[in-house]
Amino acid sequence: MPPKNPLLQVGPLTAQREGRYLFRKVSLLLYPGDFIHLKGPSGSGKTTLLRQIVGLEPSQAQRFLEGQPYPPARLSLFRSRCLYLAAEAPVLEGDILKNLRFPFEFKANRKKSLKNPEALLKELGLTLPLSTPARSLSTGERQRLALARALLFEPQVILADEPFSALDPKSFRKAFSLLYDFAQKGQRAVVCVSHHDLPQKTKTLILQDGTLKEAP
Amino acid sequence: MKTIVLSPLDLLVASGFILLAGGLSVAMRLGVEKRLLVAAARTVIQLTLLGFLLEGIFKLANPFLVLLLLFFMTFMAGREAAARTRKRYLTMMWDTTLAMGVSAFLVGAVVTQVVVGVKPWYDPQYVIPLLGMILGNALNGVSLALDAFLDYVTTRREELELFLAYGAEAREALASPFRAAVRRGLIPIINAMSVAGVVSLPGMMTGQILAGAPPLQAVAYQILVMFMLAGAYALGAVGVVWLCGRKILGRDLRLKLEILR
Repeated sequence: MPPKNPLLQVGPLTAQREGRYLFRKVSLLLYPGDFIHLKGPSGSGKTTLLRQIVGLEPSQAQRFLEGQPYPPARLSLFRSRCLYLAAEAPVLEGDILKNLRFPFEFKANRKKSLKNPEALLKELGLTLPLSTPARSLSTGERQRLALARALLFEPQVILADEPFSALDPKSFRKAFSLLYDFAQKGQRAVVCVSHHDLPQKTKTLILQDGTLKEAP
Repeated sequence: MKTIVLSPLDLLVASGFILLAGGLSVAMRLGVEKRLLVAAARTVIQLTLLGFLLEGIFKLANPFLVLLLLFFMTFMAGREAAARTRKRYLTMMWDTTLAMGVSAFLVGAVVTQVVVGVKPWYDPQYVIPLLGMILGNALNGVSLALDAFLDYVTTRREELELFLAYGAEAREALASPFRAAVRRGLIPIINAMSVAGVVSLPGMMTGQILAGAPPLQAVAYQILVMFMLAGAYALGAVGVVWLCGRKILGRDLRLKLEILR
């Protein structure tokens, strides 16, 4: 098998909470096609780790995507390629369409465009009209909307923090398979924090006792 | 021009109103008589000191002294604006002072030098009261805008981080909080301009008429003052949220709410 070039390299990541190390000098290496299930006990720092990767939490980390360095001055470009999907699934005031379209108005994303949102929403079981106010959606619907937004944004890496927590079993299987398939297409990868057992066998990393280890 | 001069005796009679209010407080057990008396005493002492200070400065008419007093006033206004917001950060006072200073000196310079054409440029009789009025109002705009801005970024953190996660730059992520904050900061002056002369007789105009100025001249001054204040409100509000935005969301494009207390 020819060695593949890494897609994403980020590290070293170190986080402290109340004087104690959550994790220390951890780094993350993703290859094209990776779908990584990130596990770890509550409070082990999974969310902090993902937020540090995209710079929403402070860190000294170096970021490389397809071998290209992304220094702090190019952070918005990095985020436009390596997307953090927050667990809170925040939605904006306004309709569903606005919630899907706003990222494309940012300078860093001017080369991207929103393509065919209805089809994907339908696959996720969101058949509401695009003019529905997003704030009227239920928690589970918001979570699917947030996932749809991430997929339609077409980044290279999605760092998904508990993207399935509020979904019923049927939506969960559908949402999972969409996210899983996303990672298989071209220069892409997914890291997914989830307490669920995932329906597919995946590479699993465990964040515990301050280190990131691959599960056997 | 006819002016009726107030004597100390007149003020003694006026202090009867304070005693009346204090008496009411005692009779109705409101418990504010002490604070009322202290506030009244502060008014007398602070204003008397200011009166002597102004008399002295008017007489000396020294540009450095005038500037020194203006800087002192700006600093005090900056401190006061910083004390009024619900959330704070460590260097907030410098941001409010700077925003206030820039706005007050810019607007003040145009008004005193271009519009009124004060000669000499530092004539304390015009420069000090006008700048005082600008500062007192900009203070309002600055503290309201800053408070609204800090409130927005803390209560809508998830939304701002959503923007950042999707690659927004600082300007793009902060556009809505900027707008909300500046709008909030401008409300008092917009309200004041809307009701001026209909519901309220603006204080400065009242003062000028009492001092014997022809009403139309007083009106002209009041219009000038209102516009000047609108400018100061706007500059102060925009300035302070811009400075604060740089602290809250710096070049590292990270929302730093941990600096807030």
